[in-house]
Amino acid sequence: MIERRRRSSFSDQELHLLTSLQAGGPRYYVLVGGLVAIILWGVIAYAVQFRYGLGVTGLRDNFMWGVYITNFVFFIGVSHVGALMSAILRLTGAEWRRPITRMAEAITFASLLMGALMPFVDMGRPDRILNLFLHGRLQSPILWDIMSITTYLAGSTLFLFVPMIPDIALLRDHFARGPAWRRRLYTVLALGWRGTPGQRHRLESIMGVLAVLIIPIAISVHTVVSWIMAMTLRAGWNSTIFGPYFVSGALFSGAAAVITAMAGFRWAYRLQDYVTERHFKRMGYLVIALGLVYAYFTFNEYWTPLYKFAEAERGYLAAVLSGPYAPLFWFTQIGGLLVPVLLLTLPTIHWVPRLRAVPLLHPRPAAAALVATAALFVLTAVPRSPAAALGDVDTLRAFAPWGLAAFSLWLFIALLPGFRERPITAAVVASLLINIGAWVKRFVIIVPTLQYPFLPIQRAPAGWDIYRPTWVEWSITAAALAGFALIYILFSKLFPIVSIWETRETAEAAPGHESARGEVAHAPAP
Amino acid sequence: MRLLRSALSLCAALLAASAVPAAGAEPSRLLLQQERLDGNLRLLATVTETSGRGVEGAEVVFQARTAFGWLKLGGAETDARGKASVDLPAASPYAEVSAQAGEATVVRAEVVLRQNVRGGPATRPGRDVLERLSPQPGFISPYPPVQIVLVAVILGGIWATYAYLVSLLIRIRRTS
Repeated sequence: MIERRRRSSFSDQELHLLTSLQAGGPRYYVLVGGLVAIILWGVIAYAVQFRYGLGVTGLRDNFMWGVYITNFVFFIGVSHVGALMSAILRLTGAEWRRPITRMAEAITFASLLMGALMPFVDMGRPDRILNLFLHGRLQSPILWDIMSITTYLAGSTLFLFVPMIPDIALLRDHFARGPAWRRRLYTVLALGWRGTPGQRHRLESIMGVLAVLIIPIAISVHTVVSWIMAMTLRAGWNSTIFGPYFVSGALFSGAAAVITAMAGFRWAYRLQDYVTERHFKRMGYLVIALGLVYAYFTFNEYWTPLYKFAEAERGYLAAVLSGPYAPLFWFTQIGGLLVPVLLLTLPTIHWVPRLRAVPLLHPRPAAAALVATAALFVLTAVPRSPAAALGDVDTLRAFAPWGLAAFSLWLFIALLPGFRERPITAAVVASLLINIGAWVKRFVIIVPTLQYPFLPIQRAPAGWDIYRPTWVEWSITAAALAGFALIYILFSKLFPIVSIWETRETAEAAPGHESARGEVAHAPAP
Repeated sequence: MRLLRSALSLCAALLAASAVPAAGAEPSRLLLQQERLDGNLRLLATVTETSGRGVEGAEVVFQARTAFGWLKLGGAETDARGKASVDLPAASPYAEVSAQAGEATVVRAEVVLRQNVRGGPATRPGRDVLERLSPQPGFISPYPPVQIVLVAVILGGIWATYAYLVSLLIRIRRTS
């Protein structure tokens, strides 16, 4: 009877939000099992690194940073948007934010944990962490990083937890007859919340202060992260705009990560009533705006040294813009910036459907041409290739990259009308591209600079003048990504991924709302 | 008598030869001085040999101490009195300069430029006062007050706010 009464304090829609907290189906266990397997593989890789030292990685004397620090900057960047976006939208009273703020805040928490782990992995010997405290120097940006990330982690954990208190209280009552561990967890975390006026007043005060405080903290954290590079004289890092450049890139990739998360949870927990096309559209606009700011900073960052072409920066610039790192760099600019922004603006481009009328613009022939060229690319890359029988292998090898680029463009244009009809799919593809591009961009920022120091790399053993990540680094990177996803998924199994009390407030404020008003009065909500 | 006269003449010739400084004689001492001249600062090096006479034609190299080591300011050859000099602009930032001469035996002198020495506290908190707190004397910073105050104000302010917010959370629990 009591249980029925408790259940009655939830509307059907709210009960639907709680279904995500129930035991998952086979697909859930397969996913979690896969993620745990990847993490275990990463642990084995780390054990190998711990046993044999950093020599098992691609890191060498000149390349003291590589994939690990790329991961570090990437995760800290992604963590940005959760707290920052949520705080700004809260302060500006943007009502549409309510179903997605918790997703964004949880991203901050999960990615910060993974990001903070990476420098320790990069250190090789974890016992040396103590040296940072015993012999740390206040003038070192590494120490600034530790202080700012610790501060941000504490702040963003509070920022995630405080708005959850009313929901945790709901869960405490809802699971009053549930498993003991859940009961205990929710009882402790609910802090005795009853929704009294005094409690509401305090909660509002805390949220107000936190929302203001977290904005400068979030911005300063990524600025400080950029300073571990910008405080050196190295070509490519010696830049005065690295702080805002990194912040803009972090916001761009973080907002894209929120779109991916929105789509994932919408699909997995059937949240179509909460996370609607309107949310994707608005987030899309946000990503476009952030992308343009990021593009502006990128242009500034490369154009000024390119114009001067100082001797110290020539090698680095040539390597990035037209040398060995050029494919990666141009992928970040075209695939990670231009294409996603175009995909997100598709709903506003009215002539796109007319492309269907163009005879050659069909996805199938374009995809076939692309696959054939990709096969050719692989075949010609292999020594003594069977493609030699086709004629001049060098010509084919030279054609393959250009063919790939041209046919990719063909396929992309042919797919545009389809993407316009499916804006959520377009947003997800765009957000995935942005995040892949963001990771690659951090790699392009870190590694080429190390390859072109002021004094050329000399007397190094063969192969030490170029950085090639090994299986150990890739395994630990995959484990970090899996860890991030696992924390995020487990979080969604413990707490509602859409804030119940916040969406309830929206429903209450909606004109003509009558049905649930009496029930809500009994429910604890600020 | 003739023999005695010849011997005396030889001694006199030897004495005279030793009294005249020979070009390229080995320097044994270098004196470095500073003097103001038309707004500039002149560094004056005097190279002498063992007897105290100036060494003519010795190459003197003037250097200044920078954060990255000794920077060569220029070189000059000593005149008949053993003196060589370079002029520094009045606004030169160096606080410590040196001069050295000689090839087989190098003589060297350093001098502190009075005009560029800034007065500072005799005791530096980072190195001297906080030395006992850390095994490394430079733990804090060469410029501790600014950095410590900055970090303490920013981080201390943030963490104090966190503490205040946590106290509000505890009050939420108490008022339940």
